Amino acid sequence: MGKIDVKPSVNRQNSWTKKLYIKQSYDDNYVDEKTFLELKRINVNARLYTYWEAVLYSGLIVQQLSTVIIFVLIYVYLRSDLIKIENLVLFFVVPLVGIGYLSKVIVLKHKCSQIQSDLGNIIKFVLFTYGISPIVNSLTESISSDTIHALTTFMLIFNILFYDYDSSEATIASKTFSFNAALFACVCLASRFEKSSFHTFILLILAFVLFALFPEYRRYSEEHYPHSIPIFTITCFFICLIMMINLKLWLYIFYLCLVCFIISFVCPLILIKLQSKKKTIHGPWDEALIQT
Amino acid sequence: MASEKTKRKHSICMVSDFFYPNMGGVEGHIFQLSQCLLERGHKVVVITHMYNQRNGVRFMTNGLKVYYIPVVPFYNQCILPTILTTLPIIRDILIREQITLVHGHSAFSALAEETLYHAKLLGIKIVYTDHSLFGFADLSSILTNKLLECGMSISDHVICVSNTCRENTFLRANIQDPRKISVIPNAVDSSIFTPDPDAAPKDRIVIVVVSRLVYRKGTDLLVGIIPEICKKYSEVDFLIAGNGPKMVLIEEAKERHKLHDRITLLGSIPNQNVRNCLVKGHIFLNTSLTEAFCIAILEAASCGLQVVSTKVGGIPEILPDSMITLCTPSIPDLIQKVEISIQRIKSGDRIKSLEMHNEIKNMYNWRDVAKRTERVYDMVADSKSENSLIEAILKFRRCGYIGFFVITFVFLANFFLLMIVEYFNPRDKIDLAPDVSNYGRRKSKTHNLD
Repeated sequence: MGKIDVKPSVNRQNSWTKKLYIKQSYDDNYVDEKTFLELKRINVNARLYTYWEAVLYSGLIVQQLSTVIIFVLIYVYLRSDLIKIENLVLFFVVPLVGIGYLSKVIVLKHKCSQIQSDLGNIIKFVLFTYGISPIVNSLTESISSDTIHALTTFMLIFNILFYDYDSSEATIASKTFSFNAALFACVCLASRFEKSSFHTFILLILAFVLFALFPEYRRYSEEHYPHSIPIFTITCFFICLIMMINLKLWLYIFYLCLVCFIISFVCPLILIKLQSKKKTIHGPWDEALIQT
Repeated sequence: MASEKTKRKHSICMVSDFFYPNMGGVEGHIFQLSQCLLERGHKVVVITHMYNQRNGVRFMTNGLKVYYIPVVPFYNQCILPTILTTLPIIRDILIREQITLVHGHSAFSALAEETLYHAKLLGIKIVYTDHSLFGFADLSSILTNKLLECGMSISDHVICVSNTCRENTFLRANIQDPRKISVIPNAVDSSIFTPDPDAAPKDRIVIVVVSRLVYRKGTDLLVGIIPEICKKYSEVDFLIAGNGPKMVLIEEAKERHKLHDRITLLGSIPNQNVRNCLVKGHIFLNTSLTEAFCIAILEAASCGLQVVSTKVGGIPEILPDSMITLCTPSIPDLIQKVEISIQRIKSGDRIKSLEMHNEIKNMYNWRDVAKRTERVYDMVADSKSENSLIEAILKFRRCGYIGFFVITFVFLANFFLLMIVEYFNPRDKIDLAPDVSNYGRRKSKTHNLD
């Protein structure tokens, strides 16, 4: 090197080059058919789905939706004394946590010390929740039930909207936000039990189990055993369905149509129809990714 | 000079949210272009929004008239896009200054976009310069691109700063005919960016970085290579000018690897000191992840520095391979290319800085940019396009159904507002401003026009 090997300042050749430092004998708005947009790429990283794949993964939405409905139904039944709180604890909360934890211990092959520290955490957590439940119990005494129900509805909708379904980089998803929304809804509902703070306590525990532990449990098993997705979906769906039996018929049918049909079968169909129109444009103007 | 007399004179209005006292590529471009156009005998005024106390009319070098209109910036130095609210004052300025051509700058500028609509209603020709690259993927780019598409559909000509930028704008704004876009690069004021071989230390090698320290400028890459280079070469120092949220990362690296005497962080420096900072170094390092043109590279090359840069956007177009070392945006490749440059400096196998300076001087200067821009102005002024409300609305048709509906609604509302303003403040009641630009130059004929 050592010398500048630039072409003469006016390019006498007839071919146009994509260089700005050469003064070329072409107009500024000259379009070179050969090089114009030659670096444009379409659908570089686009992933196309098959119908059954889409149906399978739409189950994740059904699971979360069912979880939310189960939670609300439990509240409704507790309020109207359709289920006794002792039965709920004995036949739902304790077995759910027990089976969940046992399977975790078996699969991850936990050591004794790990189990001990887990048990310690559980006891601390339960005692703490038990301690604050009287406060939560009277928290919203002065607020009307309508307000509480409206708030709860919004918060649970937020939970479903912002739930991190596939732990990908979807911009809208936020684990923290969706969990906090659910917890807010739970505190709202739990504070409506004027009778006893034990109900409040159990509902809080239930919210933690359903909105914090259960999603993590599902996520772990679905990542490592993809076959468990339909199992979870169907289980959640049917538990939800059975619990709805006491409700009005039209709600029952509405849920069946909405969840079972639209989310799981119609939406994937629309996705498949639309994905042929998928067109992402890439080129040298894209922000470069730092290669590692 | 005889041919200069017969040449067409335009009354040009530059519009952008970004102008002095803000500093950056767009700001510099508008200022330099305006100066050179004034020099060529055109009338130029600049419209921008107010900056803190800087409000009203100001005059800059050679009588460049700047209107700082009383609208406060809302987000990212841009005004709140309302379209309607700026109509009365912009109309007043355009009529008062007898503007024949509106030249908007930067796709991110809301003020420029709004002025396009006002100018269209007043029957003034429109040229637009796009200075930036933008993706297509996220929500904000979809929105910005739609707005750009609406704006571009009524402008008579578009100018882009590099070929990559042109392709980007062509796709982004959905322009039908690529011949509607001209490529006119930026330039560098080579009388300011002169080399000074004595300013740099003889026994050490200094790598200079001048950029805002943000993600888009690749500060993460910079942080990755600094410790490696410092470990390998004990005679290499870093000089970093610029400020930003990622400055913390560099300070952390400095602490962790105990490089206090090797890295100098200057923080943000005023524009006039950039040259003095550049000449203190041997190698200029640019790690941007996206860049439409990158004036900083030209400035460094004009000061005679070795340039190492990532190969992104329009950067490969601006300098010949003998004057720039390009690399992929990855830490190993950057380190390798910086090492090559260090070796070259050590062995003395490099282009003399004065030679580089002269070469850049021939390649890029603002007068040439002004000349080429003038050609665009002439072309636009000559074009006989029918200018009516219906025609403008028909042009919006290609913005998609929703875009068409919204923009037509806004445009019509703007039209009715114009009627109201016209009634209360008729056109012939507005005082015409005398042209004071070039006052000094017209008096002293001795001024060298180069």
